Amino acid sequence: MNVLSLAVRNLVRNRRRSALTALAVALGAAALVFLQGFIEGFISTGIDASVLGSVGAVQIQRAGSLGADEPLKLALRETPELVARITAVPGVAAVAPRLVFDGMVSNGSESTLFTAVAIDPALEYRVCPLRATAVRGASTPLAAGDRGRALMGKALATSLGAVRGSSLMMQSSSPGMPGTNALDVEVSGTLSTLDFSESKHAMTVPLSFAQDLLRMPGRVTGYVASVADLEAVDAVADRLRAALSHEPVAYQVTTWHDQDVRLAEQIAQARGIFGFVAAVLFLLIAAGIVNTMHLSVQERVREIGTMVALGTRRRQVVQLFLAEAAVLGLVSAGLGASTGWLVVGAIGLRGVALHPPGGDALIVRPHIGLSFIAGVVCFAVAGAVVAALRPAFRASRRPPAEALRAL
Amino acid sequence: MRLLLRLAARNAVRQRRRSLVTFSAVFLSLAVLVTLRGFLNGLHAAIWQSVVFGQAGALEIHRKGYLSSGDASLELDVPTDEAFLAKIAAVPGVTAVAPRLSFGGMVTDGDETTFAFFDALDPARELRVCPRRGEMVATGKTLGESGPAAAVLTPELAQASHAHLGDRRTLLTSDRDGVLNGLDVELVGTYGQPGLPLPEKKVGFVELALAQELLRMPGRATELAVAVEHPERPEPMKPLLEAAVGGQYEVSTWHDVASFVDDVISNQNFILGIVEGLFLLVAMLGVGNTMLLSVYERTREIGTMMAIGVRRRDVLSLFLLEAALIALVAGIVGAALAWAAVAYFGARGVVLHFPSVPRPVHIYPSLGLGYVFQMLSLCTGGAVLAALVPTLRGVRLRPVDALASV
Amino acid sequence: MWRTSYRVAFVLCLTFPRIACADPTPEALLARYDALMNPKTFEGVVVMVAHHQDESTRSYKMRFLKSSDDKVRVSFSEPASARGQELLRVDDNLWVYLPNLKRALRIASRESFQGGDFNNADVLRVNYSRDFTARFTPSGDATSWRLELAAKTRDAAYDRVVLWMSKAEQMPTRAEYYAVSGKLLRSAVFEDVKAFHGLRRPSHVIMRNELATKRYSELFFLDMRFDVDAPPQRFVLTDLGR
Repeated sequence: MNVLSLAVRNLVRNRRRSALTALAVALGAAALVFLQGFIEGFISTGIDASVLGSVGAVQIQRAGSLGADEPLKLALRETPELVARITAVPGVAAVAPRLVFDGMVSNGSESTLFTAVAIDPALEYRVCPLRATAVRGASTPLAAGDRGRALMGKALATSLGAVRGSSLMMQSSSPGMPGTNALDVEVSGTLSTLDFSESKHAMTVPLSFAQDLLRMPGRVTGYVASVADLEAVDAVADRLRAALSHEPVAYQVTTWHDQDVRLAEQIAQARGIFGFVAAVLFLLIAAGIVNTMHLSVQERVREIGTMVALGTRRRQVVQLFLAEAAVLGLVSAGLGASTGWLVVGAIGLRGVALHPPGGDALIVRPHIGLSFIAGVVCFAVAGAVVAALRPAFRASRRPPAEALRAL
Repeated sequence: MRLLLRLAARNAVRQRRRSLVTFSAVFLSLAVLVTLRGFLNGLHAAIWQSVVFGQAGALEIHRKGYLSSGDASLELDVPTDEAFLAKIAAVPGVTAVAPRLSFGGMVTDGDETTFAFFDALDPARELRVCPRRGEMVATGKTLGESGPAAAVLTPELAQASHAHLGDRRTLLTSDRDGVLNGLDVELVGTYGQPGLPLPEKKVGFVELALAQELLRMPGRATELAVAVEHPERPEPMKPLLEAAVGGQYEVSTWHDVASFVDDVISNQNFILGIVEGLFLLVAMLGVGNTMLLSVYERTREIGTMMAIGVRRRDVLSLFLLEAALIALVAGIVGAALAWAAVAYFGARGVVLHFPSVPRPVHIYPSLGLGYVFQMLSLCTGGAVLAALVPTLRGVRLRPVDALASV
Repeated sequence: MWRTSYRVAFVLCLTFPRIACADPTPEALLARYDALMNPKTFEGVVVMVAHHQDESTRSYKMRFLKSSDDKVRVSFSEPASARGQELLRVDDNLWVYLPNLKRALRIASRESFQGGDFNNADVLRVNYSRDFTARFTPSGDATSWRLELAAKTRDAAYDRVVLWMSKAEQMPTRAEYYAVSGKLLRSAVFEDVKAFHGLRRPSHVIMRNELATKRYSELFFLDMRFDVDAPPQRFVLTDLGR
């Protein structure tokens, strides 16, 4: 009779005891999976909001643009060759042009400052898909073919008394342009913003509109690219730098790390906290397993004595107990991890709303990778086996006669 | 009851190994939770203190309408004469008052200009309200250590105006009447690290006297920062200060002005709450596990007790008391250990390094007794609950069946 | 010698120029505007009142000097805090001289975006003859001509200007300034014609930001002298403060 099937039968025989141990391990596994899912969801939301909703994964601009006072002075010409060269770099998924500028927006009697990002709606949403959803209420994001439409921060709209459908005038100028230009714009809705300052000044307009307003046809302040694998963004950035190093114009390639330093720090913190909590949970579960294994072996002293008396080798006894531990660990962790995975998945579909200070709600969608689940299960199995080692060995060492006499 | 209690205690001691399982599960959970709470308390204190003592001040006084106006207008100013400041300082509970002037202007080297926001401070008074002002100065000297024409700028602003430590620049701005004015300043230090999550990246600090001269606002400021004896509870001071300054002005606490601190703290508490729930649940399951085994093993004992006339209710109570006792003792020991750890680190301080802050942050963990009691009662109650189901099942057996089993 | 009829016509033209002479051409009217509002050199004292969005006002009194090559030097006398300050404009560069620093600092012209008090006065810098072509369009008003001006080059600050000139005295009465997109950016009203050392011209100009109509400025010309001596050394940074 092979050890494994005997182990399984033993476990089933002692249903109650097995069930309770299994429950503790399962719950611990579920807890770990749940927590990890939450943390990862939180991190993803943060990254997405930044990378997929705002700055993009990789930015290509003229050298010196980062932190420049007047970005329009460093504008690039829209060249298909450059776009092709960027797209050709392995790892780059999509490229979109951007024009960043500021000026005054007025409702006819009052005016106030704005900072605008001009996007090409046909291309932008493949690079920053969250721009398509980062609008409040019934606002509609900019679509290809929208010329004189704009989205703005809520506080900005309120200060000018503008609502969906209102008409405003945007006024700006570019270096080298004498005087200013002004164009009418229809308010298409309001933007979801991350803080109050953004809400007071931010606007999003179509690229062609901005180029018209600034009398800068065919010019942009830079390109934004999305990458296939966000983990490899630095490698892609390096490849881009190499690919663009022989151009007559000096380019500057940055990643979202450079543009959003604080996010990277928050992520490291979140992972650190989770690591600590996970360690403690592991410890708790391990303690539980150790004790249960101990008790289990203790209770079955007579059984062990019988087996040894009947000629079962000590080695086989140990193997049996280890096998029981392993199966128990596997099944219970598997069940627990799957439950955790299901719960994470369910909540992930609904999403949890969190509010950054002064900003609009962010939806956090917990999610978990299969590798983590596999890791938890493996750990449970290994832990159970290790926990069972000592008691199993000790039990097997007792002389049969003594064991039979026990209890 | 006392008999049951003694019996429960003796049973627990008798069953050392089993009790140890329950004990260790509860002990570990509680020790970790209480320690975590202590550290988190320390972290939260460090956060609000760094904001209150390093930037905002416990309370701030502005002219009515200043905070809600879009472009902070210099028209809505506050007086800084000695009499007025003394009136505020005389309010019981106030320890110091400091005037500040916020304005926007250009930094120019004579040829190129860059726009920035400025906060003008009175270094001596400011340090009494915000003693940790100097901490954010990464390089060079602070305002208080320098001459009257000193400026401390953020790295972004220094870079935008191509200025290094020791360089002179001119601050150019319009006063309330729209008339330009300019004054020379010398860059003596830089504030914070690049990439700080400030709403405005280009910020500079100068002396109040310089700003008052530049803006032609002698004896005026845009805000008054107030330090109090109990900054952790600034609300009671608000009406007292409002009465002292009169209806023209409004008083805000640091909660109003720096509301993001409350948000960060409540977010972290929320996460700790989840962690607490998880730990307690896992620990309670351990307890339940052992109780089940225990009841199972002692079925004959239970049978015996019932056979000699002990009521089912009392048998139940006995087991529950055992669980409760072990949990309580384990909880107390765990909490005590955690308390000791927190007290130790609370006295010594824990040093943490954050990339966005130039100097290391000192955290002083602390604990409230309320939290410890709460956790203790939760885990004791939880242990009782966890023990309930298995015990109930155990006492339902008929004495005869109980005696007959293993 | 002239024939009698011509002699009579000539005399009549002199004495009753409005009735007898033919209507001026658009170019002639432009030249008249430039001569009145933007003479080769002139010196004057002006008070500017700026009206803000929140209905507050600020006023400045200054003396200005314009050179034949379009340089302008302004010295402030009121308010008292501005006394001694000077502005120098050469092409698109602007410098401010501060007496307390005894130095001139360059100001980027983009500051006008912050709603500066002086940006409405841009409309007075327009050089019509040089930068615009003109034609008449119906004015719907018997007392004035309406001129449509189109920018000759891309360097003009406004793409299109509509100018009304009175028939009575050939004085500008109104103007509208349009952007490339066709949007009306600014408007100006010229009124209160007065004599300045023998030459009559409007003494009150109201300039409005048509995108934010609550913001407008007024100029009151207190004194004006035409064709004065404006030597180049007066428009040099080192001369400021003297």
